[in-house]
Amino acid sequence: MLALSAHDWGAIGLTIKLATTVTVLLMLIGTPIAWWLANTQSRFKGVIGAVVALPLVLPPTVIGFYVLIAMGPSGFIGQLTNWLGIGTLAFSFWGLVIASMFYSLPFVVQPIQNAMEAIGRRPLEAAATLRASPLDQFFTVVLPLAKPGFISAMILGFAHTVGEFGVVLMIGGNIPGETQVVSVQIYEHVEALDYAQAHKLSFLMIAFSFVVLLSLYSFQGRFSNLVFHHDKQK
Amino acid sequence: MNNFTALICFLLAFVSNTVTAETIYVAIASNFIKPANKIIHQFEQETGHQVKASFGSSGKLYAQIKHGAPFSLFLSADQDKPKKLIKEGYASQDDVATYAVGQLVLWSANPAFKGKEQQRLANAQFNKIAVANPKLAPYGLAAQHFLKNYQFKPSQMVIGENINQAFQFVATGNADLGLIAKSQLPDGESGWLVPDTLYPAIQQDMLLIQSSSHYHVAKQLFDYFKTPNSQNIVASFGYKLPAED
Repeated sequence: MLALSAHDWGAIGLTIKLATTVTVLLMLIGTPIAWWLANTQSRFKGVIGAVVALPLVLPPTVIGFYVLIAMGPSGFIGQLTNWLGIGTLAFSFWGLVIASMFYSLPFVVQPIQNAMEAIGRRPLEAAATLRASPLDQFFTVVLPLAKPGFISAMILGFAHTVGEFGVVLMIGGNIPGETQVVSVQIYEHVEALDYAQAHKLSFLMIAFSFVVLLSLYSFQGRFSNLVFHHDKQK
Repeated sequence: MNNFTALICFLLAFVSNTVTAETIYVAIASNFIKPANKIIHQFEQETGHQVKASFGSSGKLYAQIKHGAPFSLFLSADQDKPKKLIKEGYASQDDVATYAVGQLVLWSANPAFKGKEQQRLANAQFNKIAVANPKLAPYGLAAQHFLKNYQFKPSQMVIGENINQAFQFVATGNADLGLIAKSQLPDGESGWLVPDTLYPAIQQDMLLIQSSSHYHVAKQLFDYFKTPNSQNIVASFGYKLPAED
């Protein structure tokens, strides 16, 4: 049944590569943001939290539109990349990575932040009385205790990037091997009335998404709803 | 009190208008947005009917019609899709007519390219060239045909979902060059008009959908598109007229 064309396989490989790259980068960037949000008393907490959550509510067309303008020669990203000598980023793999990182940011930051907030101050204060430096506290107390949050963040970030469509359609340019990801490929099959091909890829997407969510939920069950219902912990 | 009277008058006018006027839904290929809006506006003024236009790639609109979208008139960007719909029983042989002939323009928003668009293309001196998807849009097919005469890396070609997206890629400066419809050129802009011998003619046909409950109003609009006044508007937006061929 799943006799896929070379283009389809290319799209699948590219999608996995994109989602992996975005997830790794987001874990690196998202962790400090989540840590700050979980601990700060700053009055900017609300503002930063809202900015991080924006992609949850914005239509992908808004993000795609502004990313396209920002990456153009007169946009701020475009001017920066031109100054760095790497040209403009639209229609390139790294352009998609940057757009996807913004798009998937809340899916990574929020589970980590929730898990960190659920730990509370006490374990950290206990560690401090044992003379653990803040860095020590982070690696020996926060990381192990917030592990379920990190795993959820990874799964959600990866899955959400795989499921991305609108932004990629607007800034990708549909180049095989570079920006032609699975969701765009399915769209093209459907638009070209090639329903047989569309069914094959769509079926794969459904199977993939189901497995991801199933593993996420069964995993969360084992950790007493730590990730999304941290309030109950208090 | 005065305001209140005005409001009543307005509501009455609105109600009396809706008694005779009908609302029809029309599917229109993306490249024809500007002339369509102008002609439809005049049609609404003259007849009192309301026209709701949906724009998209011809392929998408075709699929929507096949799946029961409430369109009573379809302005395609090609002849294939209307022909298919006739063959599949959605429309009659007699209800089809060419309303415009599209022209392809090589355009750049980059000042360094002005007047040298074709030279840049011939020497492959550009980062990207944007075209509409050849599988979905007739302008994309024409562009693909034309580009066979030129050599550049496959990765230099970026594909918009429809002709408006190809335009967008060029307008935002992300692609140096783009093959767009002449009708899309912004006011005061110019590009290199591709000689029409270099690509298959983009004959754009319109079609009345048989099953529509507003067939007679749609037929009025269909005929309205063929009036000399409408044809002048079509020509003023950079299309050739069917009679010229």
